[in-house]
Amino acid sequence: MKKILIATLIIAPFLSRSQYDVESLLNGSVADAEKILEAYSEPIYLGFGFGMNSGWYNTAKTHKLLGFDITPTITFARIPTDAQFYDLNGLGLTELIPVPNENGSFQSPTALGPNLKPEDLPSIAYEDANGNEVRVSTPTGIGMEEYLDQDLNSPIVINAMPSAMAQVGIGLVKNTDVVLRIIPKIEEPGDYEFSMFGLGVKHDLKQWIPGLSLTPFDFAGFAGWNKINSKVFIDENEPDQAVEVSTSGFTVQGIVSKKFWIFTPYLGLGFATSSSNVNLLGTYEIDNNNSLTDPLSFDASASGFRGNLGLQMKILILTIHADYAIQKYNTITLGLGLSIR
Amino acid sequence: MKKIIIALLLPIGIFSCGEAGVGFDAGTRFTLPSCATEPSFSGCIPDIDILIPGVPIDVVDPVVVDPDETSFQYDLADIEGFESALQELNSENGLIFFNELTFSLDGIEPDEEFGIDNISLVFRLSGQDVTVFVVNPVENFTLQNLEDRDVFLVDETGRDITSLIEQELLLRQQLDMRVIFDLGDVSSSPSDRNIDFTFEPTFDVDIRVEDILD
Repeated sequence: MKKILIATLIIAPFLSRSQYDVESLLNGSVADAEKILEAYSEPIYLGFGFGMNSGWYNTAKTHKLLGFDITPTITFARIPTDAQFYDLNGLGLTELIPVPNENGSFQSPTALGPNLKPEDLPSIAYEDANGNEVRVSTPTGIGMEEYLDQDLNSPIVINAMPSAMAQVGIGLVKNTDVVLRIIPKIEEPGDYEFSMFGLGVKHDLKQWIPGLSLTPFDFAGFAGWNKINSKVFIDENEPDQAVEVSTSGFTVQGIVSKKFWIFTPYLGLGFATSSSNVNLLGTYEIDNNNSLTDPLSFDASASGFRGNLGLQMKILILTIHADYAIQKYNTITLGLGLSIR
Repeated sequence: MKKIIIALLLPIGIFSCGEAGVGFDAGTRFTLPSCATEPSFSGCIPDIDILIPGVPIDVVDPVVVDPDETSFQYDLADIEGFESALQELNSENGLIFFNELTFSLDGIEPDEEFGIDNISLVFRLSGQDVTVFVVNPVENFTLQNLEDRDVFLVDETGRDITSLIEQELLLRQQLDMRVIFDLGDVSSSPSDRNIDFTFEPTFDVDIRVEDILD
């Protein structure tokens, strides 16, 4: 099978509900299942979170009073090489037993790792209630690089987590911009729920530093926080069963930019964090006599230095920008917007 | 198990896959229990019950003891660990690996340790009976309690039979079998005697589903 599907949550529920089944995983050990799923899916959530930290600004210059911009962006958070596999034997499983693949390896791909065949995957083993041994291979990665390279013949092959944002920046007093990212809760009952809120503040710092106002650069400080809540319902016959994910990103940056004709290169230095909380909600029967309620919950978080370099091009009120950010998950951001005053 | 992965990916709205697709292996080492110990289990095996006739048996001209034959069925649907895999399994995207078959004997009393000529397994494959004689089934050809004795299917014939078993499981998801205990000479006794013991086969099987989303 060769296919790729990168969708927003809004169209995600098109995948068949019959493909969801969680009971077999929970049969083994809930605590160990959490460790495996956390290791497997962490790059997705971190990539998405660091992607959310991008695209907040494309110049250090703030708007004039009531000036504004509307800027949609798309960001690709590059998945580091060391986040493409996890060591099944190093997870500290207490009840599930790691079983190597046919080559003796315990390395298992993360969700954003390579797409491997079952025989190349390690397995976990456990004993069921009747004393029989059960073995299940670990999940494969989605193989994005393979798809871009072999199926799309893309000239650019990167393993990256995409995310898209749209924001409005408004100029207020004292050379301060407020940037808003808001999607009110949208939902399809029984299918999904989704909402987003982000708030950023960019403030001109030159005005407060004696002598700096004479320099030919713009210099601003920026802080932005963004949060996305989503919920996907697993089984239409079990309305309480859902996967709930809350992902947030926070960044604090100093920004320098300088306009040359229609071009404005900019540089940002600062700090960024990304954190996600994932919950498997609902009641799941794991055998004839037992069930588990809200069985899984895990977090994925990371933080560290963030530096980005970008270029904005402005023609009348149209802006186009691109930037590259160096952080735990490096990001490439492209944006197209309107900016007035 | 893979289904939960899809659920975890959906909330952030990404899903893709390469040539290998989303596949997985599910395997179990599953023992079909004796009906005496698992009365509620539909796939259990009745006890082996062999009648030793109550007549003097001449070693020179022995009386033939009728072999006991017990039928049973190995059904993938009875196996807890295969529930998810069977929902996805079909002959287009699936493979079955019949890794190993072992058996245990239990409940044989010391005075029931008679000689035995052979133990054979008869598989019903594609509508035909295929017989496998267990190589060296017991020590010293004496009926005795055993644990995890291997039914070796490693030679060329064994591999052919294994391949047929895998095809049968892939098509029907169940396997009809008979076990035949053929006793050898027994000591004489004035009255009929019954030997009653349990036979528990253990199957080690993997199901490979190569692409659940195709």
